[in-house]
Amino acid sequence: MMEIGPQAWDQLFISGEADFYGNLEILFLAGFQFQPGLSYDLFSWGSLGHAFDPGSISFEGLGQGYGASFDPLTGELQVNSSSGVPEPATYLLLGTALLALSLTRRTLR
Amino acid sequence: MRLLSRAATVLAVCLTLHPARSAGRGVINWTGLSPTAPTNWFDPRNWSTDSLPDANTGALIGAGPQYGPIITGNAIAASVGIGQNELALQSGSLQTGILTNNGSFNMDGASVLRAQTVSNTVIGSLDLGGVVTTQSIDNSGFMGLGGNVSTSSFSNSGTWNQAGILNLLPTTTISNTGTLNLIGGTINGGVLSLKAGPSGMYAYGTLNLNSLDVSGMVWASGGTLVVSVQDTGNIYGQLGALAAGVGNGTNTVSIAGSAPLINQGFIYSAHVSGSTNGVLELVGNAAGTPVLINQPGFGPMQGVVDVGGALVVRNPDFLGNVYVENNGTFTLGSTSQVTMAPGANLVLTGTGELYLAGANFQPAAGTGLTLDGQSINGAGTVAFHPASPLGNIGADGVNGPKLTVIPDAPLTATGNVSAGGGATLVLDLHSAGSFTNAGWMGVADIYNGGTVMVQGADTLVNQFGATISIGAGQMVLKSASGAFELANDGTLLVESGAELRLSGGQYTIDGMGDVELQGTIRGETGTESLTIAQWTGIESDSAMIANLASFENQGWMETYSGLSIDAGAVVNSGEIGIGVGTVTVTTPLMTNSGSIGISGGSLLTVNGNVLDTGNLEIDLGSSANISDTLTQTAGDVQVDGALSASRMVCEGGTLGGSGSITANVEVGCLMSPGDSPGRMDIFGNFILDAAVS
Repeated sequence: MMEIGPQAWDQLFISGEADFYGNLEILFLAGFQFQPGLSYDLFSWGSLGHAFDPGSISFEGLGQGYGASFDPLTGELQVNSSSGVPEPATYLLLGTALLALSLTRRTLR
Repeated sequence: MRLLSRAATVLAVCLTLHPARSAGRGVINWTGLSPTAPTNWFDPRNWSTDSLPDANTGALIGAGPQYGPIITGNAIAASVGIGQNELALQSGSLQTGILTNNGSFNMDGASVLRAQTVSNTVIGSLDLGGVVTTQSIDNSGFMGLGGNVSTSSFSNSGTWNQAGILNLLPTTTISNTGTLNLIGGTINGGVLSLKAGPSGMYAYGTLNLNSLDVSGMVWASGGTLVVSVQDTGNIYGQLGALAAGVGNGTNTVSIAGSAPLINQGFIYSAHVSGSTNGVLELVGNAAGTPVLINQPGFGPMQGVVDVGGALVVRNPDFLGNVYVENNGTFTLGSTSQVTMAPGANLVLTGTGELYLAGANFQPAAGTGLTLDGQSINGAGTVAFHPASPLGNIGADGVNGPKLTVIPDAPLTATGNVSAGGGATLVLDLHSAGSFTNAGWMGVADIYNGGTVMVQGADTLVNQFGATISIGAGQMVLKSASGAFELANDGTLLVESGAELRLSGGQYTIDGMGDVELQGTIRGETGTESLTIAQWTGIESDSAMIANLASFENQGWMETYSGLSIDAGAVVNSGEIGIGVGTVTVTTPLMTNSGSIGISGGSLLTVNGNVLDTGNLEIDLGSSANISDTLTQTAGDVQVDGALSASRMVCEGGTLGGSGSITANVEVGCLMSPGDSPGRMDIFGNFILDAAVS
């Protein structure tokens, strides 16, 4: 179980080979605040023998409107906002899509 | 000069014998002028008035006549004065008021002397061989009593040879400042006062007294000194001695009676090499009262009984007990021989000490020794029945003496129980089962080693307020039944360099007292086990627990500068707090189901495997080094400091913390790195087993 707190988060650094056959529970502690653009390096290893199965990874305590993803190959955690205040990249993608749609309509006319 | 002195003495005698001073009713002189019978008292021609002395006329036998008178009939004189001459009472009798002897007075056995006062001066020689009845005998010269003498007052400052019978009235006092030689004679009754100084009595005969006040020396040598105190009498030995065992033959001091001999001096029976030992006989009484009271005191003021020869204890009433109130010292020497009459039991009461000077006193079956109070000191062996707590028990000496005490019932000591100077104290409790220390017990650090051994016991109790302190040397606990409990409600201190040794069996230290371990607790054979019971604590400081088959802590242990534990198995189901220094555990397997806390920069080193089902907490800056595998099946391992092992397997419980683990780690338990939150470093390989988090 890895805990993510308001100021710091759990980390497990392994100098040798790491094999993860079990489950990974990521628990967001009370007071956790989303910080756009920040990734969480939960794990470090010298070599990775067996990574966490994606299906074995769970998240708890993350507030509504946020999403999280953990990369079992890098050991990094990403947290994003699924509603409310989008991230800058989301704005960019959304603007690009709207611009493309507008250009398409003009062409069809 | 000697001639002048002699002349002065004779002048004094002449003045003493002056008729006007000798008798107020007139005195006639012995002339011895009878032409036919110059020695016949009853020949009037032998007297200055040609008449015999009578009840109103005194007789003066001066130096002039060639022969002194001889009495062969019944003579009467108001007084008799003997100068430089002699008076012989061969038969019949002499009745007089005052008999003053400056010369020689001899009476044969068939004669009778009735005198109000007999005074033998410094130059007189008084030989009372017959029957003497007098109110007062005052001897300053030489006096021999060979007959039967009855008197109510007796003062001796000269030499007194007693070969006959001297009957003293109960109120009679003999004041002796000279020398009394009891040569086969008997003195019955009265008070015999032997004063200090050159005085003394040599009892080659029998002395039966109502009261004896001894401040000189009394020797029972070749005879029997029977101090048979009856009813109201007392015997006082003050700064003097009663002794048996000088010379050959029967040498007995027998102390008996219903009233005690009160001794503030020295009573002893001597060992005579190649001859008969002196005998000290203690005879009990039906009243069950002490026959002897040894007075307390210091140095020469203390009553001492010293048995170097023989001690005979008997009770003619067959009541068993022979009581001695010993407030001084009762010594049994290495050459002592104690003979207990069948059924006899010597009971020592009081606050004194039984001192063993190499003696071995183990009463035979059917007899016994009871110690009611008392202390035991010295070296030797003694078996006894403790009727009440003892004071001190101490093996002393500087040449490795050994004192073995064998009680037959649970024993308690309120004083010091110790061995010093390389000595060994053995409490053999096979028949007693337990020993309770209510005072101070151990080996003082001021001594150069020593051993206190408690063997054959099931329980050693250290009472609240009491102390067991091993400052130097060692204390050995030797179990009898296999299980030994050290119930400590006081203080148990093992100082640096000292050892508490466990010899065979399973040992438990319990109680609510303090255990301060600065030295070593060691198993003697390696087969022993030691358990620190629940609620019991050990504070260790550079200490060692070694050579045990197993060691289990169910209580709590705190270390302040280090502890080393070496055992076949080490189990902690209590609490171990390692606050300072290093704790080193050498064992194939250390099992923890309690809690182990390592803090303050301290270190736990385990030379072996660790199985943890409890809590193991390593604080920041502190470390645990495990040479083999750490296996956790339950509980929590919290590593905020540094943990190293050849392998760590977590099969249950939680593994967490913000420290480092130097090991190959296999986790089949809940893994919670960090410290809400934090970072854990694993230097090695890591496996998170399936189905665990």
